[in-house]
Amino acid sequence: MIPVTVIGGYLGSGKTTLINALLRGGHERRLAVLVNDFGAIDIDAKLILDHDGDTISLANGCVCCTIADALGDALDKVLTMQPPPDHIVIEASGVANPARIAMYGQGWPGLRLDGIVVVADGENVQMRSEDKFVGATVRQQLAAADLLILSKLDLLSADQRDGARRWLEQQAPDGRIAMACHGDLPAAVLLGQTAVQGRRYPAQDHETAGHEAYRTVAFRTARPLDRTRLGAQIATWPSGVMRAKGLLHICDDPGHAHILQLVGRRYSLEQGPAWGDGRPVTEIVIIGTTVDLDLARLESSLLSACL
Amino acid sequence: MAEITVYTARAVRTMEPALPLAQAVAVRDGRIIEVGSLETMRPWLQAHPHKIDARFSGHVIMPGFIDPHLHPSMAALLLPMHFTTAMEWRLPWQDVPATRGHNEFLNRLKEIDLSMADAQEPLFAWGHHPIWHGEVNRQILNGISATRPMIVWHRGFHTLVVNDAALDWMGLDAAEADRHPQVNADEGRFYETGLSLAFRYFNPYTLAPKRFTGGLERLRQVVHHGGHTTIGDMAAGMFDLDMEWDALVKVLEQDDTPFRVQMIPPGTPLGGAPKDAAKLIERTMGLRQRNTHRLQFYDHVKLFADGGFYAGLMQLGLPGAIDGSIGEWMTPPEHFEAVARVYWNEGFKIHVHCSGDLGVELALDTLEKLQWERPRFDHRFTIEHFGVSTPEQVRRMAALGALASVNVYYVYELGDAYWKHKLGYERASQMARLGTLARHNIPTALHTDFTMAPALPLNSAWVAANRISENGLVMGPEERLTLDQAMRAITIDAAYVLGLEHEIGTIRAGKKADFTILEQDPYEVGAENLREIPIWGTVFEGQPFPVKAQR
Repeated sequence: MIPVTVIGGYLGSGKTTLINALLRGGHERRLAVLVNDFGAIDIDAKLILDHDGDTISLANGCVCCTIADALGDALDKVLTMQPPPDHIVIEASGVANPARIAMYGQGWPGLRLDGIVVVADGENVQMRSEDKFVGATVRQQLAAADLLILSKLDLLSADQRDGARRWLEQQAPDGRIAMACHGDLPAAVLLGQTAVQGRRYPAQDHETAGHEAYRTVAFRTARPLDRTRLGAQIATWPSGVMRAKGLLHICDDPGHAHILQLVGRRYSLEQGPAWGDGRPVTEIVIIGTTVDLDLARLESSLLSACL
Repeated sequence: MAEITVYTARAVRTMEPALPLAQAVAVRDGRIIEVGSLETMRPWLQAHPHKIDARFSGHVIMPGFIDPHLHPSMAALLLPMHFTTAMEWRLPWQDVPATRGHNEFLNRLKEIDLSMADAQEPLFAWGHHPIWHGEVNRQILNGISATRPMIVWHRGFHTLVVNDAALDWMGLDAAEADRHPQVNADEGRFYETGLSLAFRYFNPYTLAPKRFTGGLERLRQVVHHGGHTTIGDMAAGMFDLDMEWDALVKVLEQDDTPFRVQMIPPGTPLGGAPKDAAKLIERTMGLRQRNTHRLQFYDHVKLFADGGFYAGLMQLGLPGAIDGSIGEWMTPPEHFEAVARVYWNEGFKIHVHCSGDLGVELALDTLEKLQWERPRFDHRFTIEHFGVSTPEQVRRMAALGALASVNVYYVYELGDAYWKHKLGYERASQMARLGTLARHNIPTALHTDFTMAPALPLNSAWVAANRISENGLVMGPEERLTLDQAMRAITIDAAYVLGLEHEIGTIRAGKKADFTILEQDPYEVGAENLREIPIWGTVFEGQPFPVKAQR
C-alpha cells in the first residue's frame, strides 16, 4: 500500500514552500503530490517533462496533480500511474480540517495513512488562532497534527521564535514540532525513511541549511520486544523524535515481522511478512533533531522494552 | 401580430399595490397588454382582433411563481430515486406519504422492492432519518432483499447504508472498505468522507446520461407542478458544466417547457482563489454566449461562505453549537473577499450562500468593505439561505442594501431537531428570521434550494406565514410574514432578487404573460390554508399549461 502524507495548515502558512522543496527531488522517491491548484507551484521549467492540464510530470519521477473538487478522482488517477508512486502527498486546502482529508489516506483502496503534517506560520499563527472567522478552524488544524512545522522563522527574532514555539507546544501538547524556514526540512522528516533493511550506520547527520540539525540513528537487536513495554517507552521519547520506522521482532508473534511506523505523536505497529528462513531481528531507524537524538539513551529505552 | 387573448377570471391577484385586484388580463405575443376588466380594456379590444378565453372564470390568476434558488442538477440525481421520507412530498407522478416509525420504513422499502419489475435493478431510496425511522444496517436490509442491491440514503445526504447485494454490485471488498474510518462495513454504513468511496462505484450508474436526463425530465414536471414559471439555477454547472448544460438544453429548451431558468454560475471553482481577475470575468461573461430562449446566464454570480445547513456545517457565532462542533468554510475568508471584489467592481449582482450567522457576518463585513472602496447603488447583494442570523445583522443588511433569499422550510423540517441537538430553542425558533427582515423593509424572496425543501412555492409561503414545524409547534411567531408578504416573496420580491422585476413577478401591462392559475384565492383561504390550494397549472409567455395532463 502506498503511504499518504497530508500537509495541512491555514492559507499562507508555508505548505506550498514545503511542497515545492519536495518536488525538486533529492529524496530518491517518486512522489505524487496532489495540490489544490498549480498557482503557487514553482517548478524549474527544465524539470517538466509533460503538462496535460491537471498533471505535471517531472524528470525526477515526481508528478504534481490538481485536486479540483474531487480528491477521490485525483487519487484514482494517481493510483493508475505506471509505475505507481512511492509516496503520495496531499495538500489540504487552507480551511480544511486535515484530519478529514487524512481519512482518504486511511480508507482509500491501495493507500495507507503515513501521517498528518500541519504547518504553522510563526509570524501569524497566534493572531489567526483568535480570528473571528477562522480562529476555530486554525485551532482544529493544529490539534489534528501528528507533526507540526513552525515555518517562516527567518522573519522572527530569537525571542519571537521561542515564544511561537512555546505557544505552539501549548496548543498541541503531544505534537512534535519541527522548525523550518523556506521549506528546508529533510525529506525524511516529512515523508519518513525510504528503506530500513540494509542500513548500517550508527548515526548519519543530514545536510540542512535549516534552523535545526537533524540526524538519523539506527538500532538493531535480536532480542524480542514486548509491545506494551514498547508503547510505554515510546511515550518517553523526547519531542525531537520526528519519525521512526522499523521491522520488529515481537515476542507474542515470533513468526512474523511487525512494522513500526511513527510520525510525530502517532505510531502504529502492524503485522508484516513472515520471517521465513531468516532469524528474527529488530531493526529500527529513527530520525529527529540532533540535540534530542541521543543514541545511548534511545538504545537503553528500546532495550528496556525487550524481554 | 397575433390576436389578443383575454383571460377572464374569478379574480386576478396582480401583486401590484396600484391595482391589486382585477377580473381580466389581456395577452398578446407572450406579453401582458392590459389588466383590469373587460370594460376598462375595451379600447384595446376595439382596436385589435381578440378572443375572450373564459376557461379561468372559476379560477384565480396570480403572477407566475418564482423560486430564485434551486438546483436542477442535484434534483436530476435525486428524482430517479425512491422517496422514503418522514415528511410528505407531493411529486407529479406520486404523492409520497410521510413514512414514520421503524417498521413502517421497512415496509415501505419492501413495497418498493416488490414494485420493481427488474430483479437486478439497484434500489436507491432517499429520505432515511434515524430520528423517525430508527437505525438501519446491512443485516436489516439483507432481510428485505438478499438479491437486489439496496442503497438507503440519509435525508441530509451525509450517510448511506447498503446491503450485501449492493456491496457485490459495487465490487467492493468489505474488509478493504472497513479500513476507512468513516465506513462501517459490518453495518454497511458509509458516511461523510466515506461517501466518496461509495460514489466511486455509484457515479457511473447515477450520472449515466440516460438516468441523468430522465431525472431532469422529472425535475421539469416538478417545477411545473409547483406552479413556477421562473426558477434560478443557483450554482449552474455544479458537477460538470458542459455535461449539465447539454442535458439542460436537451430536456428544458423545449416548446412544452412552461418555465425559464436563470443560470447563476459559481464565481470560482469551489473555494478557489482568484488568481487572474480578468480571466475569471472573461470566463463568467463568456457563459452568456450559450444562452437560449429559456436558459439564460446574465450578470448574477454565486459565491459560498460557510458549510451547508442540513449537513450541520454552518459557521456559528457565539455561543456556538450544543455539540461543540465547528462548521466549515466553503471558501477561505481571504479568497471570498478577493473573489467578491472582482465581481463587485465589474458590476455583478452577487448571491452568497450563508448558513450560519458567522457566514452572514463574513458576507456583510465584505459588503461593507466593498461599499467603502467603491460605492454602488442597487447592487442586489443577496444573502442566500439565511439559516441562523442575528437581529443586528438584519439591521446592517438594511443599512448596506443587502437582500435576502430565504429557505424557510428549515423551520418546518429542522426546527425540532436543531432545537434539541444543535442550537437550543431560542436560536432554532428564530431560524430564517423573516419577520425581522420585513420590519426592516428588506426585499425578501423565499426559495427551496430544492431538493432541500419541496419545490412548492405555496408550501414555502405557508411555512413563512405560519412557522409551524413538522411536529405542529409554532416556532418564533414574531418572525412570521403576513400573508401578503409571503405571497410577494414567491412573486415580485423573488423577481427582484433575480433582477427581473421589470419583466415578471406582477401582472401589469408590458410584463411577460406568466401566470399561476389557482383553484382558490390565497387572500380568501388565509395563511393557514395556503399549502392546500390546488394548482390548475400555469400560463407561460401567454400559453396555458395545465398540470393535470401529466398525472
